[in-house]
Amino acid sequence: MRPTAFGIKALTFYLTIIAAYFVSPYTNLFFLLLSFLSTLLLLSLFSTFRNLGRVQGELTGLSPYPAESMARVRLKLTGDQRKRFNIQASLRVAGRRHALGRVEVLQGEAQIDVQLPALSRGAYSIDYLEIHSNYPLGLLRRYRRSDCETKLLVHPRPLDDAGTQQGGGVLDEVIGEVLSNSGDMGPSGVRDYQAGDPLKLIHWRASARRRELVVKELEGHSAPGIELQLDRRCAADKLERCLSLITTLAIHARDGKRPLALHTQGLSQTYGEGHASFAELLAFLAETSSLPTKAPAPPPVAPTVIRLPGRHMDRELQELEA
Amino acid sequence: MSSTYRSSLVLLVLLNVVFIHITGAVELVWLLPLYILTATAVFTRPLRDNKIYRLIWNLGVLATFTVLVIDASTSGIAHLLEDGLILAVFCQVHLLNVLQKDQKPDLLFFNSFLIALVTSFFSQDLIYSLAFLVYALVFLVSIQLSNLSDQQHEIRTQVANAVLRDGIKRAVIVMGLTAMVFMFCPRDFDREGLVRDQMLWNRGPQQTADFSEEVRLGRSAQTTLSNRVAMEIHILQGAPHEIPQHWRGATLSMQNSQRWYVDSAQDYHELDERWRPTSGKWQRQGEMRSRVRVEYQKTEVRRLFNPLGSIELKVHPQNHPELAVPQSDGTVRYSGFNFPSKERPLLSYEVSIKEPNQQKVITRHPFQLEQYRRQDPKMESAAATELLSKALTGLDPKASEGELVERCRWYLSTSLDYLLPGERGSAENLSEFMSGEAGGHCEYFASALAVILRMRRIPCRMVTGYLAEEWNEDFSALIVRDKHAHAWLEVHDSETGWYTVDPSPPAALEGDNGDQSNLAAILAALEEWWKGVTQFDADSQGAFTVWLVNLPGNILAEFRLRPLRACGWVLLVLTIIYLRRRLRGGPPPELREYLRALRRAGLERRVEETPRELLARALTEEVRPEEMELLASATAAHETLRYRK
Repeated sequence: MRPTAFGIKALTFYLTIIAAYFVSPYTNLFFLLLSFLSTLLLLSLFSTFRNLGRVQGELTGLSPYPAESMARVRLKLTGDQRKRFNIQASLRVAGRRHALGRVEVLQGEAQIDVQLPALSRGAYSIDYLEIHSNYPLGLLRRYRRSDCETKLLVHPRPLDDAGTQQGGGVLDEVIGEVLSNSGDMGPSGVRDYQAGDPLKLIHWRASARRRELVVKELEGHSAPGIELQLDRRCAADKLERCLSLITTLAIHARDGKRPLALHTQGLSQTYGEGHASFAELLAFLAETSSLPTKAPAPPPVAPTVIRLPGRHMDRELQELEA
Repeated sequence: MSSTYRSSLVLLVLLNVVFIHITGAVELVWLLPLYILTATAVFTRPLRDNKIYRLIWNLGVLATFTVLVIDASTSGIAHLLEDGLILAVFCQVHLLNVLQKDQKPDLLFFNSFLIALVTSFFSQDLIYSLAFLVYALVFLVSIQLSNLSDQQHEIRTQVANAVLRDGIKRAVIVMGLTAMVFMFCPRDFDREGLVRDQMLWNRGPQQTADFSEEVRLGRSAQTTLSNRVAMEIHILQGAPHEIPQHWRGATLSMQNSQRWYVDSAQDYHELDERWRPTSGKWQRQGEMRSRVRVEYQKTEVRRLFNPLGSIELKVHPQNHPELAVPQSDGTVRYSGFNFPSKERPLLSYEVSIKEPNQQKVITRHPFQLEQYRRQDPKMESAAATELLSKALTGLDPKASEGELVERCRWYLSTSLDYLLPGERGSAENLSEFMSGEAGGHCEYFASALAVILRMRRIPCRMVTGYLAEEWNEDFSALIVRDKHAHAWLEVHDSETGWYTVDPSPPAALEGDNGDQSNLAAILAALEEWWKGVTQFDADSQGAFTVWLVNLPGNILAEFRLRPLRACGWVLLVLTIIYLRRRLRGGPPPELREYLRALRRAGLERRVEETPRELLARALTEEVRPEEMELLASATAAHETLRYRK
């Protein structure tokens, strides 16, 4: 329990009244009013203590979220059937407290959507989730902490709409390149061209024979996958850009239900259905960092696999600098 | 800010103005604008961000403050209090009218309680207690709502109502606990402050009503009525109605414009029958009708109180009967007895009282009666002359002296106001009282009657003592308390001797409520209850503790003596508990709120339509945005209640 600013003012006021009581001769009404004030203060302390009793807080739906943006999660507060008022919650992450939200009246259980703080990329350990209240009079604030085992994973921010448009060429090119050089996926046949098919998939010889455009189909997949190699022996800003791009591709792949394979120092993993989850990839992207130039090279991959950072990054950085 | 929160703040400030109003120290012409500005504060809220409004308002505040300072400096210290109180409440009105949405009204709360506290020194009437009961509730709820309010969130009506209910419960608990602290907390009821008379509101040292051998007429300090038991009069023989009410301590025949006092040479013009010592007791002639035992409870003893018709007085042997010294006026002095209470045995003496109208008339020389007719010329003021004239209007000029006395007594008791010393409107001198401009207590009534009787050359004397009228439960004893100290007159009749004349209005004296309407009876009971609070003392505390200790026994006795009535009470309590539980078992507040939101939006539920479907339907119908918002919020609350998610 900690006194609030109003509590300190009230205490000063109360002590002044006490002094006035002893300075003046005894009168019943003064004593009565002083008793009222004293009882009110004591009961307020007790009520503040009781208001938070048996209230538990829990964050649900906690998943990795993009850097520098606020994520919405659910805060679940549970108490008993007694009404409790003005229950507030805050989260202490990496030594800083962040207010989450409040429930004005809690009876039984309540769930509210709260926003997690905007953080830079990284994996943060949550110190604790704090439930607090200063009800009824706001003189004191009682805190209850519950430990959170989970980490707060803030993955790189995907290229936003503007960024995608600005570097759209880059993204499209990367995706196209990836799809055409689909790593371990070999062509299984041809089919008619459909609008949106990458030009690199067009089977020019077959198209010439048939006199209409046909494209190559890749073996074993209903949709083409993405395979990347990330060399982390690069500058931090370049790596960040790469990670943002990978995040964008990962989201793209996840939404399109395509697999994504990533090969980097210490990791060579495919993500998607039947493979490791994309959450694991995002967790890796949240935690990973650049390596010194003397560090070993990433695992070797087929020449067709797109390499990051590559010419796309250099060109994009040049565009940004321009 | 929600409307409930705004209303609570307005009500809080209104109650502050009421507190100032009931002190009577501030004229209504000052308070009326404050009432209006408080009540209209709700409507000025949208203007508070307007610079012109703020400029006009602040100029108004400055002008008012200037007027108050000028008034205080020109009117002198007499109006300092009035100006101070106006300033205090004006601050409240100012704060209320300039309070922004993002501001916390902390100062408003502190100042508010300070006003309630300070005004308690000026108005200790029932009206103050009623105002404070309401105030305590509003004060508590306002702080709770203030705590919940912040600039980001508007308190929803549903939440405000829940807080209101919670606040009412808390206020009841706080007041209950306060009552317990007040009743049981040990403290020094006679404590004198570190700073005494210098305090602005202290109109003089407080005094407690008690027996006195002198009557001073002048400006009086505020008087508290103590419940401390002075003596108990136990009937040994005779019926309760045969015991006289007026128990004499001293007679005061000498008078000047300031006071009444004992005539040190009264033995020379003795008109009462002398007490004669007879084998350990004092006696006078007469046939005994009743006999009582007086148990004197107080440490200091100066008089052995006895009624006018006492014929025998016997002090218990362990109380040193030789210390009793009968006086020529029939009173009995008791000298040299002021031991610490632990060492002193309970003073006990028996008094025999004769049949009425059996007083032996002692014929003396006329000059002896002169002493009881002598009047200070200053007392015969124009007010006294006018009072006498009014009292005798319509009286037959040939009326006997007795009829004249009775007429004057009746006129005084019905036309002048009874007020305790120091009460608002109480007289500061006898002329003021006799002119009817101000009220007075028993000494003023007795003095006024004595003055007009002596103007008519009727011999009379002031008597101080106790008015014994409080019987114990079984009417076996009279309980006489400090607050029963009283003053009255004895008028000499040439045929029957001295007889008692009490001009104080009977209704003003405790125990005589006369014929009252139900409302008046309730008000009188409330007044009595509140008087018990303001005059609470160590004796009251002790008595309450004893009552509480005896309560289980009394309840059992009630069951034994009046089983039907006791069962009725039990039945009533059980019914209340049952009704309360039934009320609690109604639909939950979330559902009530949802139905209310539906009514406000003018929508009706359809069969098998879920709240969410109804909300979707509401979007297609013409529902106002604020009602739509309310409905969405109530739907969410209802879903949370229903599905716990």
